Amino acid sequence: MAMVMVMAALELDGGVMAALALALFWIHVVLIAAAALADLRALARLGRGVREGWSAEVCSARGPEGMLARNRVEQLGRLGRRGGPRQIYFHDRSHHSEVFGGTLRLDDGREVELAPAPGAQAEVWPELASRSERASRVEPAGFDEAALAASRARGFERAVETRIGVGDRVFVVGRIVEGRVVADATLILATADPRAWLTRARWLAIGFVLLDLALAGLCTALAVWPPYFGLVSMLGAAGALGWFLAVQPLGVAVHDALRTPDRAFLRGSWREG
Amino acid sequence: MSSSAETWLVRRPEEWRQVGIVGVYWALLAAMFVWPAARNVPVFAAACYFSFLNAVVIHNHLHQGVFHSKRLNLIWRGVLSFGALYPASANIPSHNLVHHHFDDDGQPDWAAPEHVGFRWNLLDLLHFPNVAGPRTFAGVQRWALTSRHADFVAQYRRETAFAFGLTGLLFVLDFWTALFFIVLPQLYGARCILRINLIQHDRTDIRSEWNHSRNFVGRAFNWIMCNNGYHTIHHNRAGLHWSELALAHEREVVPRQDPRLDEPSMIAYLTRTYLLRWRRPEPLEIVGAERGVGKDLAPREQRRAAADASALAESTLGDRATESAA
Repeated sequence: MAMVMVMAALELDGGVMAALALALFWIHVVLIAAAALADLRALARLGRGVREGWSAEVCSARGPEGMLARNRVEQLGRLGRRGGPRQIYFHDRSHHSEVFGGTLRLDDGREVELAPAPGAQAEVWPELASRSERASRVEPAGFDEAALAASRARGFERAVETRIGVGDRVFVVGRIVEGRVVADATLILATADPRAWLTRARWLAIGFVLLDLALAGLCTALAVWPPYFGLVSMLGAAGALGWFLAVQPLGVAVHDALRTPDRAFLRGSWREG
Repeated sequence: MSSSAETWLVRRPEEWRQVGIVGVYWALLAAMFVWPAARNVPVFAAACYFSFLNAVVIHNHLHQGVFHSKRLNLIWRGVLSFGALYPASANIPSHNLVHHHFDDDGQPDWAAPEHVGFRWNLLDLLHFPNVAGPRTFAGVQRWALTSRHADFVAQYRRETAFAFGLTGLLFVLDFWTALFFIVLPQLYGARCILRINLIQHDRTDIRSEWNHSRNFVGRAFNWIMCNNGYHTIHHNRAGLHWSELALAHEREVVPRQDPRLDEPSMIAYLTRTYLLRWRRPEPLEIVGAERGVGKDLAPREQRRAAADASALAESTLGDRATESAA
């Protein structure tokens, strides 16, 4: 009898379970929004340096094949096995930035020296759309050879490079001190204006946070719509479950899209024909 | 495995513990679904805990099938998939082929502790499945595109259809009961097993042979967890049956690992690490703490190739092709 009374006291009715489910839902949508806001804070810190950046033309370079700097993505390709035209799917294995050094001509005609400081951090930001476009190009003869390698256990290895060389315009995040480029924290060399990327990235993060919280709010409002546990309420709960499952991969996709261009995922594929 | 032929149905007598765990879990879910009196705190809490244990059984079963019959093993994966609301076969690429390799293949583990970085450490624990889950399933999808195992994709789809089909049917029968008393426990277990990756590897050194994992060595804990507390030896000898891990841990790991990586109690560790402190602790300084690799331990690549082949062979009724996830 006592056992039955205890169990009755510990009964979980619909109201308690609905409150528990909504609490869990909100904890996670807020955590996902908080993670995006943390990315936004990192972008803000980056933006302070980028705002003071300047552009110049590369007039000499000390790297191999006339390179001032390069960004390199090493990839491994594997052959698709799902039928249809042959396709090689790539995943990124590593992202590297290298600065070899050289001289830059400013818009006022002055020349400044850019030399890699030992142990200093440097990032080379490629223009992402053109890198993807270059990486997706393949000659038919090259495809056959690559497909053969991609069909083996070792896979098909390749590197996609973005080079900054003599005659290119480069955007630099770093100060000029006595005719030399000096970076406070990380030297950034970009093939396109990084402010445009930063602006897009900021709006993506803000838009995602607003969407996350707005949809969660909408689902909650419907879920608690009277009469409780009626049709509208049920639709709200189903929407909340759907959003709970959908916002997680969206949050990861946004986080990945906010990786700085030197580390941005390339992936991609080659398709026969 | 040769002596196991004497055991009826299952490969080893210890497997009945795993079958029992899943049986209890299904009974708890069924009771809550059909019998209103069972919808109370103890039964719900037990269902959540057994959902986590169901995910532990998935882990063990995807390393070594429970039953003699391969067909029965594949059916069992469907049963386990319903309990976790994800296809159990996802463990082969995500756990056996990627997690067990750490980042040796040049790509980070889909469930690496570094995927989270809140200042308040408790939030890392709470948030981890929100990141590791999507990375895992996106990774599995990419792996499936290039997998030579057509059987894997078919099996993955069957498990998905069964898990989501049965859950969907329960929604149709009684939406609110299915949501509160079926889906919440399912999600609890699926998300806790992802958190285990953080708990077992955060602040360890994955480059090390013996200090890459944290172990939870309580005896009662390991009885119900089917020895999943012994994680170092599980990584180093993935082919070893779970029932043999305790002795192997004592014999091989304890003399070589940093003793701070043996935790007597998971509850004490979680309390100390996530509730009683605000910040994430610094990584343990264990470089140089390793006391001999051990002559009988084959190189990582060799051990992993053997474990990969074994895991993939369990996935099919016929072929035994090998491949890696990289």
